[in-house]
Amino acid sequence: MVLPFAPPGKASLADWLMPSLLLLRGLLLRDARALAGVVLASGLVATAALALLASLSSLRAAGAIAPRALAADAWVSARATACFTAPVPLAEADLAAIAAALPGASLRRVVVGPARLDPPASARVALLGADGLHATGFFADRGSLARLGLSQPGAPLRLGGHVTVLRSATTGLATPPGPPLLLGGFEEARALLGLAPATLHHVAIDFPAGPPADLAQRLARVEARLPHVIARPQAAMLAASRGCGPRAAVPLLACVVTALLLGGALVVGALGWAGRQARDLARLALHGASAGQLRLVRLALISLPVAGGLVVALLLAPLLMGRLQPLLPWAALASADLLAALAIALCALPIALGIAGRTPDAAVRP
Amino acid sequence: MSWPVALGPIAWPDGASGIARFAPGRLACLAGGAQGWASAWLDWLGGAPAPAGAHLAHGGLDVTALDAQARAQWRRRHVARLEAGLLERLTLAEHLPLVAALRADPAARRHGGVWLDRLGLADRLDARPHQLSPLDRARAALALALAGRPTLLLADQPTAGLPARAAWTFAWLLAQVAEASGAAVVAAGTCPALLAAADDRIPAPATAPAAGDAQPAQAARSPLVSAAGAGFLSSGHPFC
Repeated sequence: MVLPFAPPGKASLADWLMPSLLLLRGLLLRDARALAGVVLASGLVATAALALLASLSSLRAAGAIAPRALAADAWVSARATACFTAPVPLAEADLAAIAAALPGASLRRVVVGPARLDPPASARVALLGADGLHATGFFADRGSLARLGLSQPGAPLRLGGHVTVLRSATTGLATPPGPPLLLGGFEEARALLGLAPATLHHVAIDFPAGPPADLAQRLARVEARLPHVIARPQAAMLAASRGCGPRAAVPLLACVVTALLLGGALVVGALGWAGRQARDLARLALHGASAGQLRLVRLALISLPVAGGLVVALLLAPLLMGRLQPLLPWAALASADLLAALAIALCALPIALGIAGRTPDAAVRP
Repeated sequence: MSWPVALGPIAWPDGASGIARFAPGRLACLAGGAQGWASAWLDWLGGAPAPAGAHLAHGGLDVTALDAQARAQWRRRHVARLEAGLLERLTLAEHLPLVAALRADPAARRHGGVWLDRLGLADRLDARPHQLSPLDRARAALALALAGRPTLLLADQPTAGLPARAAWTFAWLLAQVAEASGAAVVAAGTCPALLAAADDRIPAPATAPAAGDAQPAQAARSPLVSAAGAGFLSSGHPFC
């Protein structure tokens, strides 16, 4: 007798999706508490990791706070200038050549440098002066003022024997452990920094209608006219300032470690959850599930805690960052951090899937 | 239609060797000795790679010769494992579309429903496994295993965990279901109820198929497939 070996019918899309949907429905309806526990646990660790990641990436970006605060379309600095806060002076005479190379652009003179508050504060600060800001008086981040022991706007500010005024407190200008940043008018800052007359550090360039399409060519014209300067768009200035100094490698490394922690939290949560479902997966296999159907079910199962943990982290991290603001005034949750968290979760998914796929299924008995 | 299953060659403690055959419509019990061999046999009968030299035939099909993909398709179409059981978070009714989808066999949904009805579970369709008695859980697992109309139903310790009375009931139910469905039902276990209900009882072999005392040359000459018959015929070894 010959067995008419009829292979099973070709699985339809419904056959592929049905096991996952039925299992997910069962889990959500009847095991929601356990799922919530797993999601919350991995979500809380992911929240802490995301907040840490945001703090570290903010720390890394802190070197670029000053050029970001002035928000120019492009910058001209001395070619020897490595980063924004460690400039080499330029002569004001260069302004005419820059203006000639960039018709229609408006130029702002900028100086930046270290200073020290007079006793009793006696704290080191970074002064930033720019055209267009108040001619007299400085403003600073609220967190920086707290660090300096300066409470209210309007209070006198004593720098090198000069008395000026603290105009206002703002946010987004906090600097991490480095000296607090005070922003004010160009002339007053230059005088307080003790720079020679007719010198400046950077030229901020603004175009009336935003950066033109041929910005690179225009900046190249500036460099052609003035070989001792470097002209770069805002993004390039931010990047140069961010990576300035050897210490930039430390927060970068910490960012990587934290990203691994975030991914690890999601993977461990997913694996714990998948382990809980191992018996069901084994039963599905014994019921005749194909390898593809099992992979899809496993993916659906693992997606729940990964997606849930990510959502919890995205919801809670801004709240946590708000609570941490007094302690870490420079830290801010940027959209790049959220995108990084999303990318990490997307990477965690196949990793968890690969590990769960290797885990032997539990023995089952009816 | 029905197809016998043959596995061998097998070496027996008394020095005989031959082919183990499992007939359609009968309950065969792999009994005796440590039960590890019986679980291994169930795996081989289910299409898991058997030791070198051993063969598994199903009807006229040499399953051993199939490649992995074809064997998986054969398993999906013809073999059911009672241990598949029930998923904790699904009701009995929800298991029917699940099994049909897993086997890519829309008719399995209807067949499963019919078997649930025949086994007295028609009014428990909304129940989840933990809401059923152990015997009803075993019945439901049996109905779902039969949903795909398997020709070979494998059960590892099917009465384990059942109270004594339920074990007797379920063992006899297995035998009746084998007859009614036409499937060859092979169970591993030493439970007295199972031994009593089994049509055929197969004692522990001396070694695994084709390992040790088996004679590959003879096995190669022996046709693995023979007419439907019960138990271990070719060596004349008596059943328990």
